[in-house]
Amino acid sequence: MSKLTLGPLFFQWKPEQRRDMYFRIADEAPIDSVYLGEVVCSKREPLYYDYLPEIIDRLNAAGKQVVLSTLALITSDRELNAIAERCGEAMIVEANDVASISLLKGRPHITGPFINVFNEATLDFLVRQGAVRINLPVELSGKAIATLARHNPVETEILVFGRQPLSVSMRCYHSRAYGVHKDSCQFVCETDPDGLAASQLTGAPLLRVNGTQTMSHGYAVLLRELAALQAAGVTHFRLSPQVADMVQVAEIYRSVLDGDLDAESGEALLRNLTGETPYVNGYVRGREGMAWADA
Amino acid sequence: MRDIAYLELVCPAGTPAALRTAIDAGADTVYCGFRDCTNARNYPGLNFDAKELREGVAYAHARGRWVIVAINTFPRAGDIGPWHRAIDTAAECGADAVILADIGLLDYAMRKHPNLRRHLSVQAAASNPLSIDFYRETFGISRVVLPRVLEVDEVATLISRMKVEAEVFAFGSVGTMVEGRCTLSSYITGRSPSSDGVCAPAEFVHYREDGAFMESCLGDVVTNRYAKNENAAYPTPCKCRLVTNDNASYLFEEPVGLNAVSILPQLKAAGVTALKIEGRQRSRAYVGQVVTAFRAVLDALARGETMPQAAADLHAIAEGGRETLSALKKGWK
Amino acid sequence: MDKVAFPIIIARNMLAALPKPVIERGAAALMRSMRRHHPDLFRNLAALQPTRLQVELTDLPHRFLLSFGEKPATLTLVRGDAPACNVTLKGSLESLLALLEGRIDSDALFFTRDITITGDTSAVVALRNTLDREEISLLDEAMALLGPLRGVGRRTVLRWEGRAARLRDRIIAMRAPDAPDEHDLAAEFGSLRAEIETLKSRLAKQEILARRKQGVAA
Repeated sequence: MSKLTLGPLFFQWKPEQRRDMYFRIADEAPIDSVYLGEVVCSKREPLYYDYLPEIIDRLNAAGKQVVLSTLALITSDRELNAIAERCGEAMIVEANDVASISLLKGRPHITGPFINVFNEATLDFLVRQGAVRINLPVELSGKAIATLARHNPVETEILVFGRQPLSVSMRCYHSRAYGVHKDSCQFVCETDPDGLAASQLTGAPLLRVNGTQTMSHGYAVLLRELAALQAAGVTHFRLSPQVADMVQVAEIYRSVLDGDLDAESGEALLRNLTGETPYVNGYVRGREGMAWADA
Repeated sequence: MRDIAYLELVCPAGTPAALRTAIDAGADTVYCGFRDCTNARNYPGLNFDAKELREGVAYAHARGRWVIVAINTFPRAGDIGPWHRAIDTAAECGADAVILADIGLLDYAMRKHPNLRRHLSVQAAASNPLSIDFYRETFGISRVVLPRVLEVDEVATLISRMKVEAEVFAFGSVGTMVEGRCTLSSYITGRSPSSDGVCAPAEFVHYREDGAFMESCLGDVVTNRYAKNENAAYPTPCKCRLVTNDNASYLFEEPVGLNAVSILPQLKAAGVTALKIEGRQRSRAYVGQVVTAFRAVLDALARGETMPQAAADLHAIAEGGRETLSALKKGWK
Repeated sequence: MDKVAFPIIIARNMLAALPKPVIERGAAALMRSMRRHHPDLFRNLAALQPTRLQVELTDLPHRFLLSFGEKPATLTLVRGDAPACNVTLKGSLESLLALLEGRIDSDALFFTRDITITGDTSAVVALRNTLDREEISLLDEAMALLGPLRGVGRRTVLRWEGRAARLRDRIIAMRAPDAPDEHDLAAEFGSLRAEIETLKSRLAKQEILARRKQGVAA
């Protein structure tokens, strides 16, 4: 049966906002796996770390699998040590940097979308290392996803809702946009809970900045492609938390996955939840990521 | 054993003619790619076939230099053949090393050609000692090209914990994102450095004169506007002007070129052993000028001089006439 | 730096003075000569995407059409209206020769707007890369065709060597208009910049505090 997952929260929400979202997910959402933890910037986690135990308890009590996500870019010892500690815990860990993969070798773990799994040979290697679920990079076309999903002896997960992470950097573009330096950033990223809009000179939208991460402005919405992806062997479908009612988003995706709702109707319902944000599905269609094909 | 003065000078060769130019100008090592998407400079008219590589290797070896082959993109699902053939061909032609990024490819190269030196591409984004050690232990890499996002102190710390050679970019175009994991180009054009070996390919680039302005466009995206006498730049996505909070700026990075010539002594002190010049897509003339200048600088430093005159030539050549130490300098983040 | 030989004045004067049919025959002769001396180049050009590249000179009343890819490459003089083409390359004779000979980096010429490209940029990239594989001196090729004028050309070469160097310097100067005594100004510039950065930083912090106080939502 197809599983629905909630990806790690990429944005810097107020701790209470974060906790409340997870409580609702635990209590109300038809989600099977929830990814927790900081992927973007190690400076942020101390601000909400204290809430994690109760979030984990609530999710576990609701029968949802909890996955600890880790940083996409690890550069300091402090970060390495924190992750090494996490890898020693009982919960399953998502590796987003090769260092984490190295720490998790031999133990069941999940590889995140920031690990470049573009072909069968790399996938096989990661499975031999202990990966039990593989997240494919957002850039892959439907054809490539199908090839890899069919080949994959373990679980395959892809992103089907939310802003697509396009790049990561050491430089904090959020700070730069606000005229401050990363070391004394005052957590300006908290000002933009859905990412800071970075538009073209013409005013047309293009990207969203989130700390050191750059994301698509459009939400990837892969409702019409769900059936084909299921048929190809994708087992897990990831929703990335955005400023939208994620419980209702999950309900829509669950219904379409189960065949209780057709994709077009699902999309219409989704539009009510996502305001003015445009949708994109270019990558899965083998085109430029920012394209939207509604056929 | 080669006779390296101060630091190994690793230079780009987009064509056989550029390879000869680089060697003649004093490169210790040249790096090149094949004429397909197995390397991250897959541009029309550029790169080598097997015959040209063989000839290039002969030319270099006759002069005591090295040729290394970049096979640094990520092979496509269901189509790994071209990449395996590229590695096999590089080995047959006598290349001194291959530069790889993909885990599956590193595995293949190690098993099939254990004696072919393996360098870890910057596209593998190995940014900490654990990652680098993982690649060394698992795939026997001898050298890592460090990401262009580290400060000199960080480079020093990293190198002190590494057991492989460190190569650092010293001149040329710099992207500001972690390489090998940037999909900005494919978001806009459908083509990416990781999969297709191109960033912002020229077929999606056009310029429009609009009265007193010139607009540069990548696909449907307007990347910049230039006033009449303002220098234009190539519209890679990380160098475009974007608007945030009603303020237009070079959000990611100014369109300047990296020039680390002023900190070569610090890089050497940090343990760096090789300098990489970026620019396989640049002209032979450019390669000749840059390599000549760097050769003069390195020879002077080897003799114990402090800031050689040749360094001044490099300032003039740096991209757009504006240059930066980029991430190497404190405060870049 | 390598010295360059551009007897531009001779070339330009000739192109301005000669009647079109003569130029046309000259262009065809040049191509034949090039094909003899650089057979690989023509093989490589044939492997590129079919391209019709219009070359528009800004300092002469002539336009040329260079066609390559698939069919054998041809260079013809444009008479009358603009031909169907997929890319136009515009610049002075000096700049374009420098571009084609790869003696001055084409990116530099482009960045400083000495040359402009409209249409399919990748065609110019492909052509430039293909030409760059050869060691060509277009002027030598052209001069070889002129026979008796060759002697004149050689003498002029020496005189105009400096001209090419000045072209390069002009390009460099255009890119760095404020690059005089770098060491003297660099320190002052550096400290001024640092001061400005500090002030900007302080101002930015004030703005953020103000936003927080207003409870500004995204």
